[in-house]
Amino acid sequence: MTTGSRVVLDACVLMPVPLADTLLRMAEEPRLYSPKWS
Amino acid sequence: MPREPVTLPESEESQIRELNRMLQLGSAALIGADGERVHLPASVLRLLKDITRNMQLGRAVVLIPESQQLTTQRAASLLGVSRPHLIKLLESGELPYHKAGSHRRIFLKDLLAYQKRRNEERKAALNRIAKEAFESGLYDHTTIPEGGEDE
Repeated sequence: MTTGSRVVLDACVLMPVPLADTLLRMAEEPRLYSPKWS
Repeated sequence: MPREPVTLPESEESQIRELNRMLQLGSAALIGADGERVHLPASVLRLLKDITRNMQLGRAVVLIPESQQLTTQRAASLLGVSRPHLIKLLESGELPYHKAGSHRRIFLKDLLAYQKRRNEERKAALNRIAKEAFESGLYDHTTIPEGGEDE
């Protein structure tokens, strides 16, 4: 149950979909980081 | 059981690197002082791999024994959600609980099952979003701005 480092994502990264998808998948299992939203 | 975080002394760095490499190879055994050899159970191997990997990354390691029953506060922090959100999960029946006197308690196995289900749902949702985005052509333009400019 390691959670990795916290990373703050500005809401603007939601827009280019390939970028948002990549970022969210990295935060998913095995949780390379835990996302926090602005 | 170390209550204080254990860090890796510089003098042991190469040993930990060796150990970490060896553990990655899979099932392992320990040889005791008297030459007795014991096969490492899968659960212990998993813990050891985690410990050495984190130490090699320069992180301090603390082992916290977890009881089979959790308080609402502990369950919330394990799931990475707020306590009010956890209470909502309990009251909506998403996560089973029982009462110890007037206090709510959650079985660790129920929490782990919920976490697994949540992860699977999250993965399915990501796949669905990506599929819809792809079908609406949102993946057609994937150029990355050069020179680190935002707009």
